[in-house]
Amino acid sequence: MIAVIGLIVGVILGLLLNPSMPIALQPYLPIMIVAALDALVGAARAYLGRTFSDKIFVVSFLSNVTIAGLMVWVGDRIGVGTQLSTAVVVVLGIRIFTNVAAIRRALLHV
Amino acid sequence: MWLPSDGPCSMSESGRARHDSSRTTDPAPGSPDAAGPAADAEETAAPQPSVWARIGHDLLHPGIGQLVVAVILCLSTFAVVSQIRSRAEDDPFSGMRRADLVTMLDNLSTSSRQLDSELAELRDTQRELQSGADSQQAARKQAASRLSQLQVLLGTVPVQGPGITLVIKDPDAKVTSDMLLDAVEELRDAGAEAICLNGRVRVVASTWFASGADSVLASGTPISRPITIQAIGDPHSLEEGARFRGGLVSQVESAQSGATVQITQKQQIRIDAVAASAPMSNATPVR
Repeated sequence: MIAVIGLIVGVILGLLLNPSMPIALQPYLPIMIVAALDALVGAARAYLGRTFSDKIFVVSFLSNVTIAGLMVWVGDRIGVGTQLSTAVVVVLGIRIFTNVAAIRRALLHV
Repeated sequence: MWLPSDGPCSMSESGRARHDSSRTTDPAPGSPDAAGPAADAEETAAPQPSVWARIGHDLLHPGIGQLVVAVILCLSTFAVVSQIRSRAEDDPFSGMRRADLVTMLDNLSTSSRQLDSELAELRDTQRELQSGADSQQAARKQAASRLSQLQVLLGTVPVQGPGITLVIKDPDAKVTSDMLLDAVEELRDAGAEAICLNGRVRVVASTWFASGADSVLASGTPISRPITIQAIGDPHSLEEGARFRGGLVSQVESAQSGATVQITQKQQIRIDAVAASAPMSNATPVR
């Protein structure tokens, strides 16, 4: 229940504050969002698999987001930013699909 | 929430950590690997009443883990919403490739140059036309003022203005054409701009005086007595010019002629007589 409230509060905050992202962060925010989605879906799967740990969840969330942003940043520095961000998105996308498949099996048994 | 409901957390901590880390560190689990945990989940869910019942129970009994998830969800949705809004505010060019942008920029600058040169041409044309119109207008104004001046000088239009009326009463008909010509010349010398004799003859450049059989002729028109001369100009100067010693008045009023001169200054004199201007048939301007 608190999680749903957190989700709603986040949406409302984003709508109300209308924050302007710092320019330096702007290219990395999409990748970081994809990493955060991956962490959230992974957490849901772990919860359904009764292996959820809030500590691991926080650490994996932070590390996912940080590493995704760092990879794109480094890629930008060495000239392969677009390709590297594509790679990160592909990998995270595969993981999200895999985890969602596991969640589907756990919830619906199909 | 599920930590207390699951029982002692230290017991399953290592197992969870191993499971979770294997999930998160292995980015590309194969389908058998993905099926493994799923099967585990089914197995572990089977002894429980139902996975939905557990979700419902956990929704009603929040714990520290849910708080963490809530905070992270809040952060994530915040980021997503702000990203969506910033994307919505972005211009459509932000997603285009660099080569396309360069081409577009080239096209735009080329057309901008073309439009600039076109604008400069049109400005030049406008300036030319405007100066042409201005000079035409100035020429027209000058021509109009010259025309009115020449019309007054040629006596082709009625004129009005301040001046004097000079009446020569000449009962003995002693006033000759020479005296009349002198009178006209003196009035002109005094600044007369238009002169009219008896209200009938406009004195212009081509006017001539002659002595007729019983009267004076001006341009062929007999001037009956008394002779009235209307002159437009500064009234004071004209009267002084007529009255100076040895001038018109003293000449006319001399003992031999026995005529009298009466001068009236007026602020408004109207001369309606006009001179017919014949076109120049012989004299042409030298350029």
